[in-house]
Amino acid sequence: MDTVANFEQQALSQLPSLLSVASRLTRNPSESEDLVQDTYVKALRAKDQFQADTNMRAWLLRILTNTFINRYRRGTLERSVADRGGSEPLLDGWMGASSLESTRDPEATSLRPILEAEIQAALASLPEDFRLAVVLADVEELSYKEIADVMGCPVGTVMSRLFRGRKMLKALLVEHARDLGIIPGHTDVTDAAPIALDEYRARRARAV
Amino acid sequence: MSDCPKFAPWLEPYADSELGAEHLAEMEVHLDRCTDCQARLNFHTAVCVSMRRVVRESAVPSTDLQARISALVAASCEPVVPAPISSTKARSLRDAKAVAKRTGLPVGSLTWRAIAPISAAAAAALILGALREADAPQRFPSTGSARASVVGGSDVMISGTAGVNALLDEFTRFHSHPDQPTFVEPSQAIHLGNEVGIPVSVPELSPVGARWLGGGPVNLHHSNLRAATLQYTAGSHRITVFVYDSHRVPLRILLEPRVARNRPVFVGSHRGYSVAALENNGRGYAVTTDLSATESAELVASLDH
Repeated sequence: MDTVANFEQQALSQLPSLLSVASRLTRNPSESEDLVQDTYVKALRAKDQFQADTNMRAWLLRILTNTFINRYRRGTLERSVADRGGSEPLLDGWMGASSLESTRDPEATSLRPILEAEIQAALASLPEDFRLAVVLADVEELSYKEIADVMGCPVGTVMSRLFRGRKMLKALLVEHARDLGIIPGHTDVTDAAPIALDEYRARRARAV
Repeated sequence: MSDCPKFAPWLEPYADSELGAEHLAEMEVHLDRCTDCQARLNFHTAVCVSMRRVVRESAVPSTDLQARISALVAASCEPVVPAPISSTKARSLRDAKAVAKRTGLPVGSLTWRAIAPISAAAAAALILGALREADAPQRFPSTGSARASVVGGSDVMISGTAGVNALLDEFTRFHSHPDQPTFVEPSQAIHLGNEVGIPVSVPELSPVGARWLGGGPVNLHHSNLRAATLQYTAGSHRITVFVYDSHRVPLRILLEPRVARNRPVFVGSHRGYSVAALENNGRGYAVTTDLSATESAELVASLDH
């Protein structure tokens, strides 16, 4: 099988991933499909620019995100969150230690599904770039670096968006999780130990 | 545990496999001892796993989208045959413009979704027209769009829907009344390459339950081209695989695009048999069977690996 044919087949196999992300960006099935199709048109036109040793899914998702920003959002992505208080204490969906009980069967508990409707609603309520970071990390399982490439921002910004997005998600889902027994006992998410993101970054930088 | 706050910012990078190696061992020792952090990790994992499932299940590509994307990808794999296709496109664009004029929409605002059915309708009209022309008594010299044309001596190209339709006739006729195989030893298939114009080998179909019978060449009378035929059986069903030069015999123009095994294939039915084709850089494989179109599509998608 030659390289060109491999490119086409690999690109085609990414259709479900592209549609997953598009559906979270547009929240409209018809627009999602058009966004995905536009992405393929651009990707096939630019296939010479694809480097064979890189992650094709991340490459296609970058094209999709850029297409979305340029065509569907008219360049307003940066407005919503990017500079929203980078030094604000980071809670990370942190729950009070005293209110958490141990779980006897962690694996079974972690795989117990949270209700679909609650997940959908919680995800839809996130600011767009938080939602994109969360979907790229948790659904598409991209690395922080790949997400940074897709979103066109530094890795630190990805971490910030990811942590904040997840924090909001967990705050919305914690009651459902407790009802389902995923978090046993009473939990007070406000009983948190705030950690500054800057401090974490500095620690990481020192370690590197 | 009193040192939990220290580990709080590490928990998600740990779950994401992004925690630096310098913290990894310390984090794991802490997780091993701290049931609170285990519970936090469980909650985090539950959210991620549930979200992954919900998002993936709620955004499954429709058949329509799969067909549109596979057609796009297939079109970029191989240049499409010149004259009749471009005239189809030109005509469908004119139709799109006419519709735009009637509806008051500027043509530039028509989306793919809107143009595709118009193009499909225009293409169908062209195909019907061409077929009628082919069926009619030849009182006048046939036009280029409805016959096999000879381009530059031996460089024969089937350049019309009627021509391709005639080839589908030949394929299905061969399948219903197959010639006796001229060879049964798979390694002999290589000798057909010169006659067919592309390399020929015998695909291994035993993983899908098909048994090899034998193969041979077939003359495509309509075009003076040759194809290789490879015959198999699967239970009570017969399977004929045709190997042909898809630059010259573009079966795809009369078949519907579809995705099978993540590959762009083209399927249809002809004279009661299902036909599925895989056309890739000039290498064409067509499968004719009495199985369903979906099964034929799966079969053809398993070839050329």
